[in-house]
Amino acid sequence: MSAPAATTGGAGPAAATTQVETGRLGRVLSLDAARGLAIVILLLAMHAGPRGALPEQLKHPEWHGLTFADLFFPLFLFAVGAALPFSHRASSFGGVLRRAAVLTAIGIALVSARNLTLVIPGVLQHIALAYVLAWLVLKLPRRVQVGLCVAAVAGYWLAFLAVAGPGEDPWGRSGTFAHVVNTWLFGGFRTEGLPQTVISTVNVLAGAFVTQLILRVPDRRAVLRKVAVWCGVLVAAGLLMALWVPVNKKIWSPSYTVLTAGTSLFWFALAFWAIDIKGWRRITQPLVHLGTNAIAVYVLVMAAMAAIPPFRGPLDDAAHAVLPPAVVTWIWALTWLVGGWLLCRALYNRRIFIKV
Amino acid sequence: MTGGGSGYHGRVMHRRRFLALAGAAGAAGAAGLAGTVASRAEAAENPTIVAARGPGDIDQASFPQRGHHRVIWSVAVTDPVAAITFDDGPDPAYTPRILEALDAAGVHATFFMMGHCVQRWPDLAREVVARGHEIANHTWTHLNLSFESPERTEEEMVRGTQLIEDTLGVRCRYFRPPRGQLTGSTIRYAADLGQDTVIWSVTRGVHGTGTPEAVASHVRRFLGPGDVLILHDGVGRAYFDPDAPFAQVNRDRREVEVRALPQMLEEAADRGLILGTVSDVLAVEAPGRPQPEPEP
Repeated sequence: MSAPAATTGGAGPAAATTQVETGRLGRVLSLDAARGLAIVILLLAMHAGPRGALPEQLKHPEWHGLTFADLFFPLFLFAVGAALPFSHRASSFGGVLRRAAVLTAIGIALVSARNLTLVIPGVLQHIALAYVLAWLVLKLPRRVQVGLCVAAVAGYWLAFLAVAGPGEDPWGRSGTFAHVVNTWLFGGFRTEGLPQTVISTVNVLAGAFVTQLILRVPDRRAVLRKVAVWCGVLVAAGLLMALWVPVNKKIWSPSYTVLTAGTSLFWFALAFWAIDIKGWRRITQPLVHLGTNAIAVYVLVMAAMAAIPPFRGPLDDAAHAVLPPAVVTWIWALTWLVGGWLLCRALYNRRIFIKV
Repeated sequence: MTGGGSGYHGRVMHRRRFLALAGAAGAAGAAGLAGTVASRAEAAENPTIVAARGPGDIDQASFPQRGHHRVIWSVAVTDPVAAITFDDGPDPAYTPRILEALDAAGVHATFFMMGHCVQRWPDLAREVVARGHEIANHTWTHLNLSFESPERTEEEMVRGTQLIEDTLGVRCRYFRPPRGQLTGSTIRYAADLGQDTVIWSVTRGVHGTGTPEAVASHVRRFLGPGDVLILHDGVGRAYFDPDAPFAQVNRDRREVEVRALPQMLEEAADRGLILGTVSDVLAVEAPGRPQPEPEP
């Protein structure tokens, strides 16, 4: 996940990845850069600052709607999927389960520490389960994989319609399929709940499909053209679905699923174009740094956030005494981001990739 | 309270009590309680604190904190406990049957009573207390406080509290504004009265009159640990306009809720969900404020 063994020297299909830029360390740089981009926005959006003065586009909508920030957790899941065909440890189900279990345990510990009580659902748990489900789907014949994705989106849509009572909004703030299942499982609605996790497997699979494309098609520009076409198709389909189904990250609505699968393709295509077509490796290097230890930096920042509240108030007050709120907010957010990047760069330079 | 003479019956008594509570909070601060400012609710229950300070003027400079009073929709809990609450009563048409159902299930509830109803049916209100249920303030006449002045809001809240407390000999620790309409004044006066403001997280759910089965089904689907369920044992403003069309609708809806209650109680028990008062739920509140993970 954070550090997929996307090396060219590995066993199996990885041998074909010599067509893409892999750098001195043998990693698929465009994949690392896309994952790094996701982490950049996640870190900014998750630290909206003491006074919330970051732009609205770096915050998630209260319910329906789509902001810039909404596009990047799906991109992270996309990157998880894109790494799957490269990963040595994903070659056995035991390895996949062990990896998911470790990630889940860390996630539960992190979110439980924040709440001082046991909490099951969370971001890392979401990633872990979607990873396992995607791995299972990828064991099926290719036609079945795509068919399952379509069926999952349609089935998810129908489930919401089926659960809503007469006159009730299937996508409302209460009583939806996601609410019912999460309330039954966890005692209340959760944004990282089980239904949302299951459907987001489609986003993971979208990444895996792109990697399969890279492995199948030797010409980089041909890969880029195909990715661009699928990006357009999925974005158009997502927008079309939005005529009937609101785009909503919190319930991972079908339109959100399809639309963000498309936008993830866009970001990946951008990284692929910059690195594999244009050869802009220096300018994209910070993203690659962050992308190589993405989960590690996420865990460290989350742990720090859990520990910092007792100190944040006085720090915040001191900063606000001399600086405007918006400046304090940006300093706060960028401190986490730059701190995370410096850590990742140091690890990268020492060729340390913290693997879950 | 602080300014604004509304001149309703019994205001003097209330003011004395209020001043005593303020004095108690000042005494707590003077005693150097290391920043743990006693709430007025605590002070009211502790005559030693009250006596230590005596009455004094209420103003924000001398009484800058109002304890931990808060607005509650639901509670993060450590145990599978949910609150069951009844608004607008007591009323002989509904409350006795509700008490029977609660007794049969061994459940205690919180009754947000209207002062008007307590005055009209005091023996019934006392019966609710006698059966061990919790009593809370639902104003005097159930006006929609969104459209009322601060002075009228104060009068409705204080008069309701006073009538309930004087008639029943219990202390109202909680307040629920009619129709759940929060205003700045309701929050401020609830804090002044030492009452947590309790809204709800789960309703009967079914639009219109509905059926007992539909209401029970909705509650079964949505009521979980830490939730606050709102039901009714009275008809609110319909007491003052009994022939209005909405009055009949209210009566029909209440009848459905009362009939649905035994099934709701049984199904909650089957699910292992313990129903109780608002205080029961707050007693198992999870430590610390819930800190959901930042959304990625």
